[in-house]
Amino acid sequence: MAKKLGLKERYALMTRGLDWEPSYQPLDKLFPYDSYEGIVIKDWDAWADPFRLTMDAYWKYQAEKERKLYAILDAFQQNNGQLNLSDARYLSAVKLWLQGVTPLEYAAHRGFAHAGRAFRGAGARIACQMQSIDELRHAQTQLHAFSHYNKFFSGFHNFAHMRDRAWYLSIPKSFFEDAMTAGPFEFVTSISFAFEYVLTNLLFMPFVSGAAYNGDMATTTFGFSAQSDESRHMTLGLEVVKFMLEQHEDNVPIVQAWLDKWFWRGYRLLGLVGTMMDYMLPKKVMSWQEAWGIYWEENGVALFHDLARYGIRLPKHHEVAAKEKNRLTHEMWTVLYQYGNALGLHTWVPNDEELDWMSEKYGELFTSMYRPRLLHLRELEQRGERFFNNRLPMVCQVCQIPVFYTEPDDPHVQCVRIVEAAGTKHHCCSDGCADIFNREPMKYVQALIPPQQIYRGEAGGARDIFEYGAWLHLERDVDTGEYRGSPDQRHWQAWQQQHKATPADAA
Amino acid sequence: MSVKHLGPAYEYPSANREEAYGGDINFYIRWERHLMFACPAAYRAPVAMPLSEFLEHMLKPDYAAHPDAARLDFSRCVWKLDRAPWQPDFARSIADNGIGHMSYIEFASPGLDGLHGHGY
Repeated sequence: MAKKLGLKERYALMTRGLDWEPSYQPLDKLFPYDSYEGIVIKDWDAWADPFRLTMDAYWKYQAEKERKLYAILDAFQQNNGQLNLSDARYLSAVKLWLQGVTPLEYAAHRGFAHAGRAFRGAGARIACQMQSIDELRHAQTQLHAFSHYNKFFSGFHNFAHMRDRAWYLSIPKSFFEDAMTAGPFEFVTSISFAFEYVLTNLLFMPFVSGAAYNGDMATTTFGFSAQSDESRHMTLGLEVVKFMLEQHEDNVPIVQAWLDKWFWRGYRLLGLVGTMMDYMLPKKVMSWQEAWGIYWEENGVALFHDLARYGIRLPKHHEVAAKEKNRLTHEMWTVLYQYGNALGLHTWVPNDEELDWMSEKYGELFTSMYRPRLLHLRELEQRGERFFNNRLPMVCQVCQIPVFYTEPDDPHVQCVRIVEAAGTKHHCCSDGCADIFNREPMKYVQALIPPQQIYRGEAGGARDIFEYGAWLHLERDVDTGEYRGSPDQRHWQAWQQQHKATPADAA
Repeated sequence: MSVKHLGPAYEYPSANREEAYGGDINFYIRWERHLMFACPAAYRAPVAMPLSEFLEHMLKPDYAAHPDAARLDFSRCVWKLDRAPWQPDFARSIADNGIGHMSYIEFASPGLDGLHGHGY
């Protein structure tokens, strides 16, 4: 080796230079997973490394970010940063993130570790390796950032236990497990491209900006610490799709089918995030409808137009998402609200100021249709009859979301699609999910659908929604149910009064 | 289409197959134009249970929070079973009415059209 290597030389030696030709096993036997999906790769060397990082540089950068992040987390904790939140209702968003999204970071870590082993191209393997480590770091830093809230508020205590059991967490869990049980090319298309590249702004923007708007410095700082990683992940997503499309024309229909599938699955999953934006953030960033307009209808669609030169068209059913954008979050919030007895976060009817914001953002449909519903729920609550629906719902066999979406052209009728496989009928929430089911029915007939698990006696023997909540380790009316009157609200009000009454603040 | 896979075959039984219910079945019902209850409801019931007993003692109490529930008269409702028009015989059993595992029942209650004039 020369005494001092140039950057390019060093990069080549420290990444692809670490690869070797196997001498006593054929490549196909060494890498059995990277061909069965039908993706044809003629030249692995054509893979343009999107990260341009060597492992030693990677450790150095990440360590620097960690030091800064943990210094701020320490300061946040020592200064009782939780008291500076906009309102304790905001924590429902953090609970949903901890229970639903942080486990996805960990799942991504596992998924990329697997994909990294599966590809025969060294460039792709290294990209996956770094992303795998990133994702593990994100899971850890989120846990550390949120753990402070566990000292003061309900609902933070059993996220890992709940992740494998709770009906609303099976939505993100099944999303990722669908990706992880696919081949490595579909995995990176689903997670790196459809999710990280196309839809990630709709995930991180509302959460991290929402944290900043609502005084959550711990989460905001985590967001900044993850941002440079996220841009690397997005680059990988675009690279992998272009790589497949450029390698062979036979890859185009395969990639298109994956984009159709993962656009729809990602969109369905993001309904939870949209509901977080519109309902759980006491100080709003922007509405779901606006975010969908900017990040999908402008940016996402432009990206698909760029891919048109490879023969890629817009994903199927994108027009349904456009039709649903002014009602999705309002429908979903009332689902979370009514099944609140089995939910590890609080729900409530928005106050008048918030209802006015929604009328302004969503216009006539909200004002004439959803606002009266919310006011009806408020009236019931004020009469001491807070509405809960304790009967288990029909759930979509693919996205695992309770079947509450209404027909794309009629918001008065739930959209139900019946599909059949393995001698049994199954139900889907949409044509998008029914298409996904019918493409790979043998995959989705295996799905564990929470209400069905309960009825089959596979949920710890729970016979109703309350026993089911206990099986999730939820403490009834502490972790679950209505926000107004909850221990979280009572503590928050008491602490705010003490905080205001201290001489230091008065001065 | 089928799942692309490595290894010999990719065939699995449905996790929710009827045999897992010990003689009962799992089925679903939607009361049209009553979106206060956001989703079709899921039930497990014995197939020998008379339909009237199921409707009066299992289904009806679930909707007690809706003002229309007290006036609900099943004999005046319009029914569909698995999307086809259907005339149930309330005195007979769930099985004798043709309701099977994973069946989907829809009923409309003319005159009871939910709240606020938009089927809530």
